[in-house]
Amino acid sequence: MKTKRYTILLLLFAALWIQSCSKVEEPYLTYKNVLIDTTAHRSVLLEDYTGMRCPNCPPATLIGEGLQDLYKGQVFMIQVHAGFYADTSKTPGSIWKTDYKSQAGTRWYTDFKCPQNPMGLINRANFDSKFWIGSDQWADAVAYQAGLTKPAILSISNKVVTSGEDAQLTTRVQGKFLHKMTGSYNVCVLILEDSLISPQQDGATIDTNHLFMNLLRGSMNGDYGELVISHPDSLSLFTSPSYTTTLNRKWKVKNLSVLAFLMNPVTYEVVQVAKKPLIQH
Amino acid sequence: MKKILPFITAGLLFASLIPLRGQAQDFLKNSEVHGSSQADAIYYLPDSKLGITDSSLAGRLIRMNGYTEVNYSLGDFTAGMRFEAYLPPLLGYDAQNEGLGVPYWYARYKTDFIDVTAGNFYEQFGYGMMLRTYQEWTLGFDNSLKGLRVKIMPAKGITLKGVYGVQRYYWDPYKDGNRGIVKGVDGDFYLNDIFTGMADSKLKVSLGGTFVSVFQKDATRDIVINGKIYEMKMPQNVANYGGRINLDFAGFSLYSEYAYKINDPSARNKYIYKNGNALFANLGYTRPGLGISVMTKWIDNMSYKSDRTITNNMLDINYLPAITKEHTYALASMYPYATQPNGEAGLSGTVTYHLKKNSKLGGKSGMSIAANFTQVNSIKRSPVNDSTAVGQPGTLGYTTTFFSVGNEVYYQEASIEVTKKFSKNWKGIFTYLYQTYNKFVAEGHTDNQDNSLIYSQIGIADVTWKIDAKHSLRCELQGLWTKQDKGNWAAALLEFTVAPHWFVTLQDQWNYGNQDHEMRLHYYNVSGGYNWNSTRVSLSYGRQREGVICVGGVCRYVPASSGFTLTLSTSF
Repeated sequence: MKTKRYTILLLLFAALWIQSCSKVEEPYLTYKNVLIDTTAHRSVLLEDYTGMRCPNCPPATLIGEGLQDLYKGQVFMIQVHAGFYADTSKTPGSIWKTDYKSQAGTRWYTDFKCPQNPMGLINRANFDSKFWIGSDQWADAVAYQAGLTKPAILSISNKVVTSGEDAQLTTRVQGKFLHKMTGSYNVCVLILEDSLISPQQDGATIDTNHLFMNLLRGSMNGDYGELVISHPDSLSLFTSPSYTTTLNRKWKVKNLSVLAFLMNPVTYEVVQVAKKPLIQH
Repeated sequence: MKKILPFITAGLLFASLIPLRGQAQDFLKNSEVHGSSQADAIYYLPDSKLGITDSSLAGRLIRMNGYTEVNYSLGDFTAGMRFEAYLPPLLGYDAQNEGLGVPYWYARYKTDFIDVTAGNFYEQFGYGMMLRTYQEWTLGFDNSLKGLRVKIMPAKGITLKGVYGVQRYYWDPYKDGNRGIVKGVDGDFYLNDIFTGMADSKLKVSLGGTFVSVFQKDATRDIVINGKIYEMKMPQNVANYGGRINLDFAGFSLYSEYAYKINDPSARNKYIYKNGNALFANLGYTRPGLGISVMTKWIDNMSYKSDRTITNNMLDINYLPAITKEHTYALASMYPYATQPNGEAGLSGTVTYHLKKNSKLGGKSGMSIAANFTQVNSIKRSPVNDSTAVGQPGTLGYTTTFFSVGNEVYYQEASIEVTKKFSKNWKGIFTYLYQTYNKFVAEGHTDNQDNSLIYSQIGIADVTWKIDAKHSLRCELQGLWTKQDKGNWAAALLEFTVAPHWFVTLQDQWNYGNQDHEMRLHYYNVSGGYNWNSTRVSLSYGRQREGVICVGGVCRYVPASSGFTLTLSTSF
């Protein structure tokens, strides 16, 4: 009797399980019209952790660039080459000789515990106790961040002084808070380079003339920037120190930009981003 | 009165304990405690030849993976826990493992009729193509379920199981549906026990059926295609079900399992809505001195996880069996095969034959020969229509025919292994392998645009000399010859054992055929250890070459490193 009772219970349980089946019918996709007001909302830093040997990275980068186009002037993407797939190869005859890694990028990849490429950080916000998310989640995360209120405005001033083959860049960032905020804020100043051409694994093939845009070359003021303001009130102003660096001779000045972002050094969350090319085209 | 109340209470408590003393003694007498512990620690050293510098080590010179598991049992009751620490994890293990705590604990009650587990548990239905949770320390892999498991044995030959829970994901606790909820039922029916008429039959028949479902909360997901945002409909409940059969008759055995999964768009399959299915079959024949085994598998879109956004090995609900041979020799395992859950078709055959003692070839002590051939290819895929590319996200993805075999070779291996005892004191194992390895498919990247296939020939001689009852010397000589990748390798190992406690090993792997002369490196290693009952301590110093380590077709990348390694393991 006891046996029968347990068996019936288990069969009932099994019958309930059969309901656990969601068959999705076509159409699977619906076009989503996004209305964006870039003036009132927060800008978004999209860090694309990538590598030239990574076969799944080009589709992820395309997603990031798509979001950057869609949220023009509000989403700023940087390509951070870090991790196993960004390592150059020691294999003889290998075409993977170009090293795009940077000290800051490698540090972030480790600190944010990126498990692999491609991975992305969206304003360094936390998702389920982790910072990184897969490229299939970027659209949702960007939409959320892009809908938040703009807390501050940033402006960048660059000055390039050339002497022979050398070029020296001096950058300063100024900002104004639009709301009262708690916590301290660092400003982090990065150098990005566009229009680099070198091989990239793309699925099963290698694109030998791949175009790299928004590539992180390094930070001008440390991996996590420098403290500029604490507990700002509405309309609080700040000015960063001047940061000066001699540009690597291999970098093309006309393709360089400075990207600055304002970040809470405790939570790492980015609250505002600005970008300015070294030479205005 | 108030002052004497505590004394009265204490006295009553003491008095009440007197009759329990006998029970407490029985309680302790009948209890059993078992456990095991392991710690692997490495002190990393910079090694310019391997590209390891102080800055790449970032100050984290000592890393350690360790665990201790304790199980307590009393009659039908068992309880246990495992403490783990990754401080920080060894290089090559996922950085998300960093931390310490008790990720595994359970309480279990088991009789002949019912078996209930609450907490964490490992479970497998059939071969695991629909559900298998397990832990593999060498991979840093653990997909245990935390929840409830019930097993009922209502009659002889019948086992019914039900599981309900969430999987372990590093140290992240389950909250707000941050991963899926897994439910599953399974029935196993051994017909020879169920039907009395079959009790004495030479034909043994066992049947099984499984139904597993995972619930994920998101009903839609945004996806970017060509710079436009689309909303994708997501199946909240993804089911995976199937059946299995096991036959045994006069030395022949057949095991076969089939699984079918409904639409499951995920990061792993690039968000396509095609269903998945898989078939695994193993046909065997054994008689004294001879063993034959033929295995086949066909897998199509069978990655099944409790978080559709995860692309690494974590949160796998099912396990797709490997049919490739697992090697322990260093050079034979240089190019291991990783199972491709998105699709593969494989066939493997092994013949083991023992030549009798005093026969012409067998000699005085006899000889064993094992030959194996394995090939794994892609499956055929066709576009669903003229305007949709194969694998396009947000579509059915592709169509395929059941058991179709594609042209792309993923892995191929032919091997022969001869085991011969020359005399009372001399024994040898000689192996030859021919491998074809698709580096792009297995590792996801390639150095060669035109061809990612690596063809290699491997020869191994493993000879043991038993010097006397206590002392033995083992020597391994290995060679790997290939024109691709890093070129030829040679390896040698010498191991001296003083039974039952001590061992010392010297080994070297030399990449003498690397076209880049600077990279013709020696990966030397010296190690020694001590065994005492079930405790083993070993210390080694040397280099670890970059590579991939696989267990059962599940793999992890191992970076090159250099340093001291201390390993301590014990069980009680």
